[in-house]
This record gives sequence, structure tokens and C-alpha cells, in this order.
Amino acid sequence: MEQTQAGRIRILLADDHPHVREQLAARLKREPDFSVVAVTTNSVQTIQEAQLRRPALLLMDPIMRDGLGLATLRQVRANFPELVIVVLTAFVDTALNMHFQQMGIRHVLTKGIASSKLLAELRAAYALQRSNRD
Amino acid sequence: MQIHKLKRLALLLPVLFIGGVLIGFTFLDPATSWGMVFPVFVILAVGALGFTYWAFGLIERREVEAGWRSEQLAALHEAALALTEELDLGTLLQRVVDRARTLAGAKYGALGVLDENSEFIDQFITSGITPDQRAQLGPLPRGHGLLGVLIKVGESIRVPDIATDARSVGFPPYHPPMQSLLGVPIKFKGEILGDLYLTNKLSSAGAVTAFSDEDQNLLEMFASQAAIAIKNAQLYRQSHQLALLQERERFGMDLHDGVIQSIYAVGLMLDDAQYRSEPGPPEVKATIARAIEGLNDVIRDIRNYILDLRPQRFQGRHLPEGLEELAREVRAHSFLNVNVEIESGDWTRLSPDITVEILHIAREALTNIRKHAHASGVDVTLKRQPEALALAITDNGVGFDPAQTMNNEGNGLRNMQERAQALGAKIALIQRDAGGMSVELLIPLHVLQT
Repeated sequence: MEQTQAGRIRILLADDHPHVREQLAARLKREPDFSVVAVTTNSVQTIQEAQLRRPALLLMDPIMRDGLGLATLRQVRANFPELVIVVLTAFVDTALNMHFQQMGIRHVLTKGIASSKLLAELRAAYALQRSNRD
Repeated sequence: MQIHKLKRLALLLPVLFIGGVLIGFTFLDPATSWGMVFPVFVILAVGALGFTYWAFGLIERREVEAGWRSEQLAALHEAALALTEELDLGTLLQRVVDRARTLAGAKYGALGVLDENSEFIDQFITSGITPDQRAQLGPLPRGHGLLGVLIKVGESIRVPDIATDARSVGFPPYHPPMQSLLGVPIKFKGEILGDLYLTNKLSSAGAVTAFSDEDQNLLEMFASQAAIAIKNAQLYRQSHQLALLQERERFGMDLHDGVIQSIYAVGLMLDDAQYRSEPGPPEVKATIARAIEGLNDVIRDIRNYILDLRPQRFQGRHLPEGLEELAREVRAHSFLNVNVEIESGDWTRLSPDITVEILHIAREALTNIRKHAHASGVDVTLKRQPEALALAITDNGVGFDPAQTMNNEGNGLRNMQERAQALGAKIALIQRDAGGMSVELLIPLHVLQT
């Protein structure tokens, strides 16, 4: 089991919408090359799990009801520079986009994206990070 | 006591008094002869009567004047009251010019509302000319001639005959003949909100005469009342718009938190159902795939809708920045590949008003593409030509028939055309052979220099 886990992309999923979270987690778990290491429902949990599980990729909707989503992203960014961050949110406006740019987050997706496309984007983001590191 | 009774008394009393005094004298001094006393009496009486007549004539004239004046003030008061009731800016402006015209007895009236910088006429509301006449007159006056004097100097202007005034630049074709002019600025705390123009004062016989000092005073008083009412309506409108904006922001948040998320979750569930039904009948798979696609379309529509509700933050941007920002926004909300190409050089001298207008047109074009073109890529190019500035927005989508679509009000093309026209620019929709459309906007250099 450990052996097969090794080659997988370790994903932390953070979304405070229960149905979206549940469905996304199920979808990701179906992919043989993904491993969902934690699913979080708020900002504080997300920071804790990032610390604890050391995922390779964070898939997050930073527009959270606790209002701390962007701050969380900033902190995660600072604490774990190697972590690939992919934002998946319902609506992106200019102001939000500028926040992402400042944080150096290049992968911003909007909800409503086809699942196949979402999976492809996650793989591409991860691959890009690997190739930059090597 | 009424004035004519007083007058009768004033005529009678001195005569009786002088008579009484003279009779008294003759009794006290029997030496005085009637032959001496009578001429003195006549002289004194005539003098007293003459003075009384003169004095009362003066009083009566003043009274007529005061009556006329109080009538005017009553009219002014009534007109001012009528203004304060109105909170809708458009209706108010029309009411101001209508009332001003009746107040001063002028045949024609107009109200020029200035733009934010108090430089140009932004709206021109008329009174006394028919809609047909108005339509024939064409575009708004530019404020070159006498109208401009009022805008620039900010003081009242009174001209007995427009044609002979040196500052006049003449009338455009189809303009009704106008002779006497009275113009008064509408000022609020030193800021000129607009200018009130009256022309052709009509005498009671119906002939055109010049405006008087009184007319000017009256109109100036009215203008100061109108200024308060206009400012009030403007503030009301602003607060109303602010409330509306906040409502929209909240509405946008609701759509984000509620609707988009829920629809997305349902889409994911269908996705899961599709997976679980494997290897099911292929029709089921296809149907579910279509359902998911349909839901994603709905989400995209909602997002576009929120985007349209958002206030645009173009103010204070230069054209290249604004275009880049537009492109960023479109990229964020669609899978359109937007490519912006701007000729290098100094674009900062373009006036903010024209910049905002161009950006609005560009935004409209991009919105159309996003909604209708089914395109995958858009090129936005901005270039200088010898005689004009050229903005082209070209997509690789399905295209359409411009002649047909132009008549359709719903799709924003009309909006674009109207904006271009107001700007004095040309806009063309060109069907490309390679597929897709090109929206080309040409802004002549002379427009840019004004």
C-alpha cells in the first residue's frame, strides 16, 4: 500500500461548501494517480492539515465564510513554497485576481469547469512545479 | 384705509385748514380786506392740491409696482416650491426650464447641464420648441458662441438681439429664429451645475422684445432655487445608486455562495452517477454528459450576469491599462484566449472621458463575444493611423449577419453604435472570411484633440 502511495500526487482539498467538498473528494479519489490526504472545511483546519500532512498540492476555494481564505493562502504560500496551489472558486473578479497574482498563484480555475479539464489542470500544475524544481 | 379715500381726505383737509386759518385772521384783524385774503387763499389751496396730487400719484405708481412685484415673487415662490417636490432629476430639469420660461414670459427656454468639469454641455433640455423642431436640430450645441460665454464666464448675460452681438456664431440650419436672449448660470456653492437660457421675450401684444433688469433679477433668484433642487435631486440619485450597488454586491455574493456552488455540486454528483453507471447504456452516459454541460453553461451565464452587474472601474485609467484590465477580466471568466496588442507610444494625453468611452465600447464588444460568438480567441489591437485612432476587436467565433443583428436591441451592438456616435467615431462590424467577426472603431484625430 505504501508502495503505491509513493507515486501519487498528495492533495489537500479545502472547500467550505459541503456538497462541493464531498463530490470533489470522491472524484479525486477515483483517480489512480491522486491521493487525497486531507479534506478541510475552514481556513484554520487548512493550515493545520498543510502542516501535518505535507501535501504536494492544495486545491482550495479561498472564498470561505470565515473570511480568512486569502490570509490562509498567503500563509501557506509563505510556509510551504514548494506546495502547488490551485484555486477553484465560483467567481473571480479583478481585485481577487490581483491578490492571486501578488501571491504568485498561477492556477486559478472557476467552478463549472468540466471534471476532466479540472483533473488535467491539476496534473499540469503539478508537472510544471516538478519541472521547475528539477 | 383705502388709498383713494385717503387721497380725497388729503385734498379736502388742507383746503379747509387754509380756509379756516384765513377766516380766523380776518376775524382777529378786522382791517384785512376780503380782496387781499381771497387771492392768498387761492394760491395756497392750489399749491397744497398740486402737492397732494403729485405725492399720491407717486404712491399709486409705487403700489402698482409693488403689486406687480409681489405677483412675480408669488410666481417665483410657487415655481420654487414645484421644484422641491421633484426628486427625479430628468423631470426636475424639464420643470426648471418650463417654469423659468413662464416666469419671464419667454417664447423659448433651454437648460444646458454641464459635465462634471463644468466645461461642456452634457444635456440640453428645451422648452417651447416642438419635438420635431428639436429632432431637426441634430446634435447638442457645443457652446462655441453666446452659450459658451455663459459657461466660461459664469455670469448672467443679456442680449437684445442675438444676430448683432459680436460673440454670436450664428444658428445651425432649422434653428427657430431667436432674437433677445437672457442667460443665467445655475450655481451651487460656486460650482456651475448648468445654465438657463431664455430667448424671445414676448410683450403682452405678442411681439418679441428685450429682457429687462427685472426679468434678470427674477431669473437669477429662480436659478438659485433651482440649484438647490437640482443638487438635491443629484444627491438623491447618488444615494439611490449607492443602495442599488450595495444590493447588487450582496446579490453577487448570494449567487456565489448559494447558486453557483449548488449547481456545481449537482454537476459533480451527475459526474459521479455517470461513473457508477459504467458500463451502462451509452445513451445514459451521453444524456448525463449533456446535463453536466448544461449545468456548466448555467454557471457561466450566472457569472456573466454578475460581471455585468459589477460597476466598472475604468475611472482614472489610461487606455492601455484599461484594455489590459478588461482582457484580464474576460480571461478570468471564460476560456477565451485574449491577446492585447498596443502600439507603443504615449497614450496618457487622451482625455479621461474619451478613454472611458472607448473602454466601454471595448467592454461591450468583448461581452458580446463572450456571450454569443462561441469563440476561442480574441485579438484586441490599438493603433495610430495618420488621421485616426484605430481599435480592432477580432474574434474567431461563429460570426453573424451584421445587417440582421443591428436591429436587435438586446445584444449590445446598438449600445456600441450609440456610444461611438456620441463620441464622433466610426464603428464597423466586419465579417471575416476566416470566420468570426471584427469590430473596428475609428476615432478621428480631431475628436481626440477637443
